[in-house]
Amino acid sequence: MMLQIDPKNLLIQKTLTETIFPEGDSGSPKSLDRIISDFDYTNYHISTLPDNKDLLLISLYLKCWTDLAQYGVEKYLSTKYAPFSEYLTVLTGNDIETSFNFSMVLNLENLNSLGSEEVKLAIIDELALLKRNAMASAFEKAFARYDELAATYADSNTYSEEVQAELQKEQVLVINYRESDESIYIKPSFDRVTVVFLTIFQDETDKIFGKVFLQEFVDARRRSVQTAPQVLYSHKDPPLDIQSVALSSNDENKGYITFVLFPRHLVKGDRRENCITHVQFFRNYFHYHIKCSKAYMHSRMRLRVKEYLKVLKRAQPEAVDEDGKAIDNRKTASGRRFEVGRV
Amino acid sequence: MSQSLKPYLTAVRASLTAAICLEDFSSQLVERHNIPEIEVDNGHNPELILNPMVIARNENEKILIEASVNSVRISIKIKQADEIEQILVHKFTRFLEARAENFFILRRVPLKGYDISFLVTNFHTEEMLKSKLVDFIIEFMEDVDKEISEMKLFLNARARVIAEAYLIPFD
Amino acid sequence: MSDWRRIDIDAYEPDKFLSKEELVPDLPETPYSEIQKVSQQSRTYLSSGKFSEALALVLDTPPYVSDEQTKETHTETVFEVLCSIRNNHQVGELKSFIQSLTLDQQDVLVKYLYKTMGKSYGAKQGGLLLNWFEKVVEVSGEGPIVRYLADRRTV
Repeated sequence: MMLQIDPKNLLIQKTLTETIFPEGDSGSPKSLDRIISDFDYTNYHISTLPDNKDLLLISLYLKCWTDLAQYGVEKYLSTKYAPFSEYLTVLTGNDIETSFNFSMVLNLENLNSLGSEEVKLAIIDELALLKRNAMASAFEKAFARYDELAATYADSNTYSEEVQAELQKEQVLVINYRESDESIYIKPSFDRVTVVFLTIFQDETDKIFGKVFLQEFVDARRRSVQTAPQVLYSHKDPPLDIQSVALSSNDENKGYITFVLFPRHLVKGDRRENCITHVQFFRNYFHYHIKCSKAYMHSRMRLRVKEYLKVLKRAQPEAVDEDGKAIDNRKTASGRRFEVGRV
Repeated sequence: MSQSLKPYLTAVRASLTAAICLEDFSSQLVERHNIPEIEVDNGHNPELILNPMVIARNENEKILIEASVNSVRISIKIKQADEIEQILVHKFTRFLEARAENFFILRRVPLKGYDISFLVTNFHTEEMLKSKLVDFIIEFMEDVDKEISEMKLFLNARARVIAEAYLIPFD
Repeated sequence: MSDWRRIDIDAYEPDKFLSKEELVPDLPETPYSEIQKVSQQSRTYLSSGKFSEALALVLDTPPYVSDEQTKETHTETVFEVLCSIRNNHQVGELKSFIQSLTLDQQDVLVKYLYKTMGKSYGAKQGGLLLNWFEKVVEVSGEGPIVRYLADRRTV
C-alpha cells in the first residue's frame, strides 16, 4: 500500500529510458511522439524532431506558468539544466513549442557517444523532475528572501512594532496551480517560511475525512514528530498571514492548511531541496489518501453486506422445488419421510 | 453503556417475535390487490393497523415497530456520536439500501427520523423462518454498531500513519 | 365539479368502514381530577416506602378514555413510580414486584413501558425501562406484548 507519491514522473522516466537505453538492436533511432500528463493540469510532450530523429523535443505545459514566470522560473530552469548543456539545449522565445510553456532539445547522438552511463541516468532523473523543478522556482525565490530577511534582522529586536509591521507587509508569493481557487501561498519571514495551501473539498465525506486527517497532522508534532513543521488549518477564513491576497468567502468547502517551515527545514543544500520537493506535493498526497480511505471503507462495506446476506440466507429453508414448496430431505431412522407443509 | 445492550436486544427480540405474526390479507379497498397494509394510508381501515411500539435504549438509539395484519415495518435509529460516525452510518445505510433487492426485507428508504427501515410481509414469513428473521435483525443491530466503531478506529489510525509519513521526511 | 376523479368515494358510503373514532372502546370517560388524585396518592405511597401499593394503584387506573392531558399526566405518574422503584431496589427484586401483580396489571405495565419509551423523558432512562421490560417478559412471556399490539384500549 503506497504511502508516498513519487515526485518523479514515471512515464517520462520510462519513455526516456526506452529511448536512451534501447532494447535489442539499436539500429536507427525510432520516431517518437508522446503526450504525457501529470498532476495539477500539467502536460509534457516528448517528440522526435521531424527532420532529425536524433533530436528529442521535450516540452512542458503548466497551468500556473504565468504565476511562476513572476518568480523567475525560466531562469531557474535554465540554471538547473545547465550542467547538461552539452546535450540539453533550452529553447527560448518563438522556438518554444506552440501551446507549451517551456521547451528543451535533447541531443541523443551526443549523449550516446559522449555521455557516460551515470550522466545518462542523471539526465533521465532530472527530466522526470521537470514539474518539480518548475514549481521549485517559486519556493527558491521565497527561501532566498528568507535568507535575506534572516540576515537583515539577525541582530534586531524582532518583537518591536515597526519590525512586526514590516514583516507583516512582506509580499506573499501566490501560485494558482489548479483551477477553481486551489492555490499555494508562500510568505517568507526572518525565522521561518509559511506555506499555505488553499484546497477545495468535493463533497461532505471528503471534508470530514479531511478534517480527521488534518487533526492528526496538527497533533503529530506534539505527539511524535517534534521536528516536523508546524501545521495549522482553518475552514472558511484565510489565515492572517495571507489575508492580503486571499479573499474571505462563505464557501464551506474551502480548507486552509498552513505549514510553518523552520530554519532546520530550510538548511541550504539537500535539506532545502528535499523540503521543496516534499512540500509541493502536499495537496496531491492529501487528496490521494482521502480517496484511498474512501475506497477501503467501500470494500469493507461490501464485505459486511456479503456477511449479512449469508445470515439472511440461513432464514430460508434449504431446498425449494418447482412449486416453491420446501423440499424436506429429512428421514427418520426407519426411512419414513416427514410430512411436507407441517412446521 | 453496554449493560443495557442485553436487555435492549431481549426486548427487541420479544417484541419482534410478537409482532411478526402475519397472514395473507387481500386489500379491502381494491379488488384483486394485495398490499402491505402498513405502507398504505389507512384512514379507511384503522382496524388493520396495530399499535406501534417504540423500544429505546437512550435518545440516540431506538427502534420503531409498526405492525399490521399482513406486514411489519421496523425502523432503526443507529447511534451516531459525532460527524464521522454520522457520515459512516449514512454511507453504510445508503450502500445497503442500494442492494435492497438482495435483502428482500430491506426498505429502500428509511422512515423520517430513523436511519434504516425493514418491511416484512406475510410473503416473507411464508418463505423464511420467523425465528431466523428475528435473529437476522438482532444480529444486524449488534453488528452495525461494531462495524461503525471499527471503521472509525481505522480512519483515525490511518490518519496518524499518513501524517507521520508526510512530516518525518522534512527533517 | 371538475375534480371528480379525486372524490373520495368511499367516504360517502355509509356504514361500510370503521373510522378511527369507532375503534375507541365503549368505556366511561376518566376525568382529570381522578387522575390527579391517583398521582398524589401514588406519591404518598412512594415517599412512605409502599412501593408495591403504588405500583398496583397506578396500574389499576389507566385512563383509557380520556383527553390528552389526563393521559399524559398518568403516564408521567407511572414513570415516576417505575423510576423510584428501580432506583431503590436491585434489578433482581423487580421480578418479585411483577409477580405480585395480576395478569391485567402486567398487561397495563407493558403498555406503559412502550408508551414511556416513546417519550423523550423515557428514552433518556432507556436502561431503566428496559430492565423492567426484561423482567416482565421473563415472568409473563410475550402475551402482554401481543395484547398491547391488538388492544384498542390505548393508554
